[in-house]
This record gives sequence, structure tokens and C-alpha cells, in this order.
Amino acid sequence: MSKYWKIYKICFANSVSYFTQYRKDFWFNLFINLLWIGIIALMIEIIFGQTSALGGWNKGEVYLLTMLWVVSNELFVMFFGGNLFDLSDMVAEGVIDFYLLKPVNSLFLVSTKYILFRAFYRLLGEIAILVYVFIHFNFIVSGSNIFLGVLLFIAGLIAQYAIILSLNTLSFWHMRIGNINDAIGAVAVIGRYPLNIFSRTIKFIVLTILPVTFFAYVPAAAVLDRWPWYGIVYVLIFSLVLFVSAVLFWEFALKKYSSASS
Amino acid sequence: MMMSMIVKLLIYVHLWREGNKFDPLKQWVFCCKYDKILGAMKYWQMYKTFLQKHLAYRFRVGIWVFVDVIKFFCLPFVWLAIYQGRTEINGYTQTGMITYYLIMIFISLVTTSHISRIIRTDIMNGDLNNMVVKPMNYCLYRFTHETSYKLLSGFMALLIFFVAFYFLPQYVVMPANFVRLVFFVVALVFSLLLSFAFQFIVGMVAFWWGENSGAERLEEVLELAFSGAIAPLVFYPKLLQAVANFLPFKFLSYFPAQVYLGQIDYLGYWQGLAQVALWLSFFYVIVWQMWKRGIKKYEGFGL
Repeated sequence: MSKYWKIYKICFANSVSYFTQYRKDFWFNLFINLLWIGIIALMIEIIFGQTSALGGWNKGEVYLLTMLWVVSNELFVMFFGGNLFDLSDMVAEGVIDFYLLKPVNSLFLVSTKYILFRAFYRLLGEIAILVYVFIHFNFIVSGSNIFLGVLLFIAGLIAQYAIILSLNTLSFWHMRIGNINDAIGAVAVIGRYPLNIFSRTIKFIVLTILPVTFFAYVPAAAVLDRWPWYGIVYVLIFSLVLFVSAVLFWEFALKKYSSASS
Repeated sequence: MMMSMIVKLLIYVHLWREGNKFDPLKQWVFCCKYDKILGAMKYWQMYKTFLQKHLAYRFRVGIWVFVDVIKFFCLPFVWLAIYQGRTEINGYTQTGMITYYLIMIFISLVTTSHISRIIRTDIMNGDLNNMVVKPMNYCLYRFTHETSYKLLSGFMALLIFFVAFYFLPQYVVMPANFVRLVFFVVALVFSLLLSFAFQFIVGMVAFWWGENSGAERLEEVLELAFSGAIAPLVFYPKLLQAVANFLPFKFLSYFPAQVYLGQIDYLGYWQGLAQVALWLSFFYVIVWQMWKRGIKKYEGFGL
């Protein structure tokens, strides 16, 4: 275990070093990120300019859901985005061989080799906005709901990791499918809206086959006391199942892998 | 092959008509014409090659099409939840609103360019070296690349539109008449040219900054905010509406959608076309100037 901790610390130091070398456009990127959040806010304002509730959720609740979605997305991008999103190219170019030859768990190395430090500052800003939303809309929630929300948020991150790992593992069979990450990113947007606005088929898909609602919708619903206890058990167990399946699928893919490099 | 034979045939016909007499001036004029034909042919060949390449990576193309569709997927549901029982909001009926987002999908597949990343890679990896030494125009080369992809995604767009019309006729409206349809197609052509110009400019930023992801994201955010992709501009606060009407981004999506839905009269249409033509002239001058300066700055790493 200590060996992996040491490796992670080295990867962390490397990421900091990389960030300090390429920090010229840091403020510019931060500014654009704020603009992007502004557009999401504009969309919410447009919606609530026409109605007082969307799928039974009021404006404050939708803001909370949206900001949780943004934070969840940013956390994933920070820790795993720079790694898993590159898997397709690594397989196509044979770069992955370097990781497979190291005397450590290849999945650990492939998943943690780079931490996107630039996202850390964006994340701080987004958490600040989330706290502001919480205070501004006067949410009164119990400690147990907060605890459940945090627990489900972590389960959501695990589910997100499992889904993206599984989809990127497909690149062992289909070359150059890096854009599958754009696809899952686009699908994940469904989890930014109250589930009640969608049809039953879509609800079923985003709760089972592609559970993008786990990333933010479920934690937000739990915090707001809108998610039943059996739903909590289901999400926790299903996230674990997804994770184990993704790891097994990765190991299966490695067995079938024939190197692309010389 | 076919084109090459036609060109050869033209030469024979020409020489036969000239009686094979040697006339330097006429020969020179003829060579110029021949060069032009060959010039057009080489882009046609490139077009076919790019098309084959896209077909070879059809899984990847399929994913891009899926992304373009799914990014507008939630918004019709949001509006259906808002409309419940209401017949019209801000001049949009429920059917008109759903059709609006179908048009957004159509535009995204048919005219929205994504070439900036490729241009950045060409510059950063030194792949541009290969292209600038060849007798071709780089801008046209990349335009050929883009339009070959758009042929495939456009086909998918038409398919999606007709499937939606067939299965959900209550949510889809067709253009009021044939003239509207022609006007819409013309607006789409302008949208494609404008989108390509934006992306080409963003791609060329890499000549100076090396990395252009910041510029890329800025263009993406501005386009998202002011093109009408998230909602028709009439739903925006007044100040933002005024800004959006001043900027050229509305000609990417909002203007063609208005033309399709008949929310703009003929005078407004011609005024809109004149405006977008002016914007296009302005941006292509920028493209030209940036290319001239950028290529001087380019150091050709990766040789």
C-alpha cells in the first residue's frame, strides 16, 4: 500500500511541475470557466422566467442540482480526466505498453498518472458558488441528509469512474474512439435536470444502463429529502457492482490486447 | 480517373480545333485553363479521399453524430414541462419550440465546424510542413476536409429529421413553402462558411500561442451563449438580446432557425443575409491576414 502511496505522491509532484510550466493561460481558462457557469445560470433563469417549478423542483433546488453536477464533473476531470480520457490514444499508439511493463497494477498507474491541477482552482470557485447557492436559497437540511448526500456523491464518483473506464476499455477493440468521452459527457447532461421531466424509458436508462443520474441528481435529491431509502441502498450497491465489473472488464481486455507498438 | 479522361479529351478537342498550330499566347492561355481544371480536380480527389477516411473511421463519426444529437436532447423535455397547457410563449408554439431544437441538431450536424483542433495539431506537430510545400491552398484543403465530413453527418441529420417527422409528427413542423426551404438552405450555407471562418481563426491562434485550447473554449462559450443554441434569443433578458443581435453568432443557428420557422419576413431575410455577408467578408480578411502573418512566424517543428 505504501508503495502505491509513494507512486501517487510522485505523480502528484509531476502534475504540479507540469502545471507550473504551462500556467500562462491559467487566468484566461478560469475566466472562461466562469462564463460557462454563467451560461448554465442563464439557462436556469430563462426556464424559471416561464415557470415556477421544473419537474416539481423550484429554482433554488435546480441551482443546487446544477452546481453539484458541475462540482462532480470537475472532481472527476481533475483526478481521472487527464488519464482515462487518453486511454484510446494510448492504446492506438502503443504507449500503454510502458504502463503494462511496470511492476505495479496497470489500472492504478493508468488511472492516476496525471492530476489536472488546473481544475483544482476551478473546483474551488465552483464549491464557493455551491456554498453561495446553499446560503442564498436558505436551504434547511438535516445533518443525516447531508451525510447521505456526501455518501451518494462519492458513490456517484465511483460510478462515473466505472462507466468511463468501461467505455474507454472498448478502445482495445475499436481504435480511435477517444470521442466516446464527449459522448458520455453529453449524455451526463441529462443528470443536470430533474428526472421527472423525462419519459419513463429515459428514466429507466439513466438509472440502470447508463446511470448518469448517480453523479449529481441522486445526491441532490438525497440532500433535499426527495430520494427514498431503498433508492439509496440501490445506488450504493449498483455503484459497487459497476466498479467491480469495470475492473474485471479491464483485466479481460488486457488479456486480449496485442501491442500496437514495435 | 473519369475526370482525368475528360480533361485529356478536352485537350485533344482543343488541339484539333486549333489545327495543331503553335501559338505561344494561345498555348499559355490554354495552359492556364487546364491548370484551373486540374486545380479543381485535385480538391475533388481530396474530397473523395477524406470521405473514404471518414468512412474507414465510421464508428468515430457515428459517435460525433451521437454527441451532436444528444447535446440538445434534454431541452425539448424541459420546454415540454414548461408548456403544459399553454399554447404559445413568446411567439413559439409547443410544436414550434420542439422543431426549433430539431433544427439546432440539424445545424449542428450540417454546418457547425470543428476544424480548429486539427489546425492546431497541424501547427503544433509540424504537419503543416507537408501541406505548405504542396501546390494547394491550405484553407481550401481543410474546407474540403470539413465538407466531406459534413456530407456524412448531413445525411444522418436528414435521416434523424425524417424519422422525427414520421414518428412524432405532432412535434415537427415543415417549412411553410418551397421558397422558405430554399431560403433556409442558403442561410445554412452562410452558417457553414461563418462557422468554418471562426474555427479557422481559432486554429491559427496556435501560430502565436502554441496552444489554443483557451481560444477554443472562448469561441465555444460565446457561440453557445449568443447563437441561440440553448434557447431562442427572444427568451433572453433584453440586454443580452441586444448584445446577441449585435454579434455575428446568431447567424450560426438562430437566423437559419427563424427562416425555417417563418418568424422572419422577406425584408428581414435579405437584411440578415446582407449582414452575414458583411461579417463573412470581415472574418475572411482576418483569416487571410492571420495566415500571412502566422506562416511567417511558423517554425516548422516536427520536421
